[in-house]
This record gives sequence, C-alpha cells and structure tokens, in this order.
Amino acid sequence: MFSDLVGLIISLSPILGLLVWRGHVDRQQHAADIVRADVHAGVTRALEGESLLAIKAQAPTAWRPGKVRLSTPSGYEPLIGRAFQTVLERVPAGYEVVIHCGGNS
Amino acid sequence: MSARLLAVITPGEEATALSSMVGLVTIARAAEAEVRLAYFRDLPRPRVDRHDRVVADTAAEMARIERTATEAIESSARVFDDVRAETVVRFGKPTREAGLEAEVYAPQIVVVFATARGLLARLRRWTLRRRLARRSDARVLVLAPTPPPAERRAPVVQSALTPPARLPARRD
Repeated sequence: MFSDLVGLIISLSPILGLLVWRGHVDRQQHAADIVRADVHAGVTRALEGESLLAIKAQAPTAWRPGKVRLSTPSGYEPLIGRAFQTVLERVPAGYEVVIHCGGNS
Repeated sequence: MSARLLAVITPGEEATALSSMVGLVTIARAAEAEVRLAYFRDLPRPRVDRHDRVVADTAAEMARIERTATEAIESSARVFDDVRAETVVRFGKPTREAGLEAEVYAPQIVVVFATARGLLARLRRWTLRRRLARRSDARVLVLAPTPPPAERRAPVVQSALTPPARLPARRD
C-alpha cells in the first residue's frame, strides 16, 4: 500500500512540477503584461497619443531580470527622450530598461 | 545641480557605443544630465618586437590607448554640442573599475551597452550590471543596437520578362 502510494507520487511529480512551473511562468508573464500596459499608458499620455515608440516587456526569470524594451524607427529617437522619465517612473524594481537605437534602427 | 550620467564602455563594445551615441545623447538631454563616457580596459602588456625587445612599455601603451580612445569617442560625441560630455579611460579589471567609477562619480543614471555574444561575455556583462546596480543608487539602463530586419522574402509574382528556366529545344 505504502509502496503504491510512493510510486504514484513519484510518477505524478514530474507532471505536477511541470504544472507548477507553468503556473509560475504564466503569473510572471501576466505581471510583465501589466508592466507593459502601465508603461504604454504612461507613454501614450506623455506623448499625447499613440506613437511609433514600441514597448515590449519580458518577464523576469531566475537568472535574469525582467526587461522593458523601447525601440523606435531610425530618426524617431527623440520620442524615447520625451517618454524616458515616464518609463523610468513606471518600471518596477526587478526590471531593467533596454533602449534599442542606432545600429540597424 | 544637473544630473550625472555614466556611460560604461568595456572592451568589445566600442563600436556599439559609438553607433548608439544618438540614444545616449537622447537620454542625457531628457534627463538634463552631463555625461561621462568611461572606457575600461585591461592593463596592456608591453609591446615587444620580434626579438622580444620592449618597444613600448605598459605606460606608453596606456598613453597610446588613452589618446586613441579619447579621440574616437570625443569625435563622435562632438556632434551633439548641447550636451556636456567628458571622456575618461580607466585601466584595470573592467568590472571592478566600473564599480569604482560608479561609486566615485555617483551618477543618477548608468548606461551600459549590450553587445555581448557568447556565454562568457554574457556572464561578464551580467556581473557588471549586478555590481553597478548594487554599488550605486543609479538607475541602470541598457543601450542595445536594433537587430537587423528579417530577410525579405523573394517576390511571389514572377515578371513576364523573366525568361523561362528551360527553353524548348529548337527544331530545324
């Protein structure tokens, strides 16, 4: 009886572990989506409407912090400057701001 | 007192730093900050000729690297004359020296450049960011080059002027 129970637990543990891990990843992604929405709302207000400034949020993982990526087409970099303070105010701890500009933009 | 912005340039990031100068200046303008462009290099080895005679000792090499780096960075920053920028070159272990520089300069914003490729370089960059974030109260920003656009697909519609791949055999 006991050995059956142990066998059941051992055989189910990978599936349960996977479910728990997926749940954690989903929660992190949900939090990242909220951060993205918050930053986007702030940027839209700061720039007085929709703009060419693209915002992408990546959830943090165990080995790297979350990232809020800002990018614009080439020649539109001043948009980053206008929205920069708002972004910094709204990005929570545990996230870093990555600005894509120059190079191939 | 205006804000201070420290841009950390480590070996291998020189080209990215120069090409990302627009972004750096945009941030500096927005924060109304003065910029310190700090280039960190390992201590150079003395230069020797093929007979192992020293032609330039470490001090001479350091002076040469400092002059070259300062000229290159300042020439690219000179275009943006509305932002106060100074260039410093520090020799030693880049991660440790960058931490010390952040502690001494006490910037409000620290900018690092993301070009690291390979596991070791990524690990080094991660250590640098962690150290900068821990040592100073500054906000750490990452300036990264925009990835190239995906390759365009070949046109679906073939031009009528394009000759067929196989011409029919001539019947004479």
